[in-house]
Amino acid sequence: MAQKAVIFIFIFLAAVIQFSFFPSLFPLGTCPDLLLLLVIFWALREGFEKTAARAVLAGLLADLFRFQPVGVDIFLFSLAAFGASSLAKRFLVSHRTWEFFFTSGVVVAGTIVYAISFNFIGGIFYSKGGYGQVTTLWHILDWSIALRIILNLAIFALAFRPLEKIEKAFELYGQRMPGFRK
Amino acid sequence: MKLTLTLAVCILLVFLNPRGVFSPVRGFFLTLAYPFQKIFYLTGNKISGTFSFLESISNLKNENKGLIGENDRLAAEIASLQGQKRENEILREQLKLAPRDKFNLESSLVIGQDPGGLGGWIMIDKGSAQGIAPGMAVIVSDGILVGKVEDVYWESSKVNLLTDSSASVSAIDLETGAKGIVRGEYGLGLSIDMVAQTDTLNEGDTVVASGLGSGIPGGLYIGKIQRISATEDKLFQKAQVVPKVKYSKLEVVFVIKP
Repeated sequence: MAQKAVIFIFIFLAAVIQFSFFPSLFPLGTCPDLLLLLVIFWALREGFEKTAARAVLAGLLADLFRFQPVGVDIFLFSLAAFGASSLAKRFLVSHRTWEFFFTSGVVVAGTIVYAISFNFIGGIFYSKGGYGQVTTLWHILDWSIALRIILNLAIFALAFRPLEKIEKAFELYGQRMPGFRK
Repeated sequence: MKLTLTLAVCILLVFLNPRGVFSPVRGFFLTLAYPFQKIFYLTGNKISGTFSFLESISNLKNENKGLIGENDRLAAEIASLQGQKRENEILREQLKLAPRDKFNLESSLVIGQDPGGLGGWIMIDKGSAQGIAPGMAVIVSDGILVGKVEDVYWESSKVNLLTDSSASVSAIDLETGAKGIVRGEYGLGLSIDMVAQTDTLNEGDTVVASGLGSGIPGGLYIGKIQRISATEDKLFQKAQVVPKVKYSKLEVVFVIKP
């Protein structure tokens, strides 16, 4: 129960940081996807089964704080968790350094897929859930995706070790994914 | 199985979009997040401001030179504005626009904004507890309209900015009296359209809210006209409107209460 409460507080604070701290810090309008990074981080280490509930909670908070139809980010975060955990099962990584690079690669892939999907879905449902906004290829593949990748990698590099330490300190998790360093 | 079920529920939720069901949930989380949002947003602004200050140091010399020139120009402009002030008062009286100092204003701090950078909305730190209601106009200090309250929670509210794609405000060209609708252009700026071909629009004219419909008081400054063109069907004129404020840099706004 305490573990669940800690995870809830963790995701809640990450959502507040993503939707209140980052927008004021990055006035260019492109912010890092902290919640997505958390979901990917957990999915790679814990597998989809254990991360699914967290992905749903993170997605729900993202939908609520973003004022968009509930379900969009839950959908995308669940897919991200599933994709990341499938990749972790497929490619076994044992060395500490490679683990970091492998995870970074997944972050890049996750960011691209998430941004494209979000732009596509957002184009259809943007604002008040109204239909009919024109969604062009240019709108979906906008330049900010490149900037977002850089920001996500930077935040991920900064947060990776602290997240590991928090993981150990709070003993939030059970068994890790096979193949990862124990 | 878990994934399929989650995705199916999500698709249903997105398509059915039961806003009413999730409004209380959203309200609960926003109330919970309110103190944190305020702290984080203001901290972010301070950090961002510090970086901007450091960045601006290198430009100080040029900036100073520019400011001296601008000061001289403004001194001359003040002289000419004295005359225009009187003219403006007469025009406002003729158009029956509300005087700006008669508004009952509620000052609010901005505690969040559209993270997508589309300039669609901001969050403010006043809500139903302070008497804020949906539809109220939101301005910045000198009577510049920036948006309208859309959703109200206990201690916070969501304000739809004029640049939001769904925003539309009835407006008037203060110099020529041409009437039209100001709309947001997906966070990229503003435009005025539905202006009759018989009306006159000039580049540089001032656009203000007309006060017709939508509950927004007339006379609130919106922006200046730039690049006039005809609509695709050639029935109306449209023009870009350049707002006076940067919507991504809003820190304090005022809600106009009735």
